[in-house]
Amino acid sequence: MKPEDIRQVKNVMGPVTTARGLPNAFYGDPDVHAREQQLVFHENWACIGFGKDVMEAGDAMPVTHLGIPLLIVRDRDDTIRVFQNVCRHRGMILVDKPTKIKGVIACPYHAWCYELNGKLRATPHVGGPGRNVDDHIDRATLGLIEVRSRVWMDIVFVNMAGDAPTFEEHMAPLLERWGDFAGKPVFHGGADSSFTLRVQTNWKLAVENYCESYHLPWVHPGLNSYSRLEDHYHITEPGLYSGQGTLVYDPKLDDTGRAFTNFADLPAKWDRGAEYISLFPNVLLGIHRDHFYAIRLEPISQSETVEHVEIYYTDPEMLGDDYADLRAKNAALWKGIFIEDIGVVEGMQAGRAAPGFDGGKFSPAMDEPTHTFHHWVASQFAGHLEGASISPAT
Amino acid sequence: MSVTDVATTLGDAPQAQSSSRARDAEESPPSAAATGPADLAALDRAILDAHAREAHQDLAHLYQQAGEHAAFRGDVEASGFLFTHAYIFALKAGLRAQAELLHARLAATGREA
Repeated sequence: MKPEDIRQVKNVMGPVTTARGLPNAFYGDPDVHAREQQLVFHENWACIGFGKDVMEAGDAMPVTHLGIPLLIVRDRDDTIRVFQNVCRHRGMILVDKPTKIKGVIACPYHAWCYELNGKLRATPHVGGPGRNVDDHIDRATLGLIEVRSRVWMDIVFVNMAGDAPTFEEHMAPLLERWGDFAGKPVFHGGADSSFTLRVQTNWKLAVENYCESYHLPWVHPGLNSYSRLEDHYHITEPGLYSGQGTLVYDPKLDDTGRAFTNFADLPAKWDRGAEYISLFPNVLLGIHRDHFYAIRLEPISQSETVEHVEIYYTDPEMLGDDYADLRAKNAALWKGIFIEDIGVVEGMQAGRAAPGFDGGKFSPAMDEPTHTFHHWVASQFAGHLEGASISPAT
Repeated sequence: MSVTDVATTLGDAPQAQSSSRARDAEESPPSAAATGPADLAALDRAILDAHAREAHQDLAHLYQQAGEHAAFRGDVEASGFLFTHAYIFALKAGLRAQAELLHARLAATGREA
């Protein structure tokens, strides 16, 4: 990273009235991207997938996270675990496509077999033909390498470094903020409630666009008639998330008045309230009284991101054919809005090739959520920039 | 040892044995004593066919049959090899009872923990 970039990172840490945004290198430099993978993703709790990807016991889903092959597995007791997707023998990839494991996870190379909980169960011919034991092979120490993971609202998080604060401690502010939804299950809407968007932009620009409402009247003019800018409020929780809320959520997906079932026992503020939060680093959340969605941002490179959108409902009845048309309309509504955002996040990515761009001047009134995110990213680099002295996140 | 070596491990003979018949083997395993050389050739073909279909359940039963043949001949090494394969495919297919039985047989000869 160039000295001027380091100076710019330090500028991010100031108050929103004087701060500038992250420098261009954070959006286009592959070296910075690589450091970011370590400092921002590896060290923190990041999303790698969804419980619905392993819907039934024995389901195994391979994913690549930070270039690391991982395996999400649902055990017979419904526990979801994440392992490094590699055999302890010769480092062979164990599962290369979504698979229903009937019995054990068997390595395709020499058939070492692992239980769904990761324990090494069998080591065929390890002591010679027909001899499956060896004094030097201690199965108890050769189970799959488990990755620290947690599932919340069906979102699978991992902390690759393994030493971040506990998930509950880390998430406490959001768990409190959305305490009205605590313990209430969500049910994935199925194939019609799942889609992906491949976007030619750095993942951070997707976060930044999502967490602010400033752009709504310009990029989403269709919202102006029922969800005006002044109906929104900012949400900021330094170090964890930022976003926006609306006071006028009032879905009308059907002229006959049919609607999705609401979460049970919600206080009145959610009758017309909804919130949209960018949970750092890579999850975009939307919560409403009648549905919830989560978007996993998968950074492909410094300039390409895949958005995995998954929509959930409050009641298994909403998953049936009777509600298929409403689910389709709801998914189409959100997909349309997210597609409207593509032009600006790709435009901002292209704009960061302009050497004179200094990270951007924030609107103190409208860009506080964006600055909260920039500040968090910059703070992850604190102590890792040569010659830089960055204050901790506030 | 490769799959194509199975016939050698089985012995010098094989006879026909369908995989559907093999599926019933867990409940009523065929008599090794009644199985002659022609059966073993067919058993070898059935094993190769099951490998091609990645039919783990069939493979568990077929390898167990092959192991029984070897055991009947008194070929402890071959039966250990073949029962190991049967055990692994039983594990993969989730055939718990068969896997436990095979594990016990292998453990009895010091071939499993």
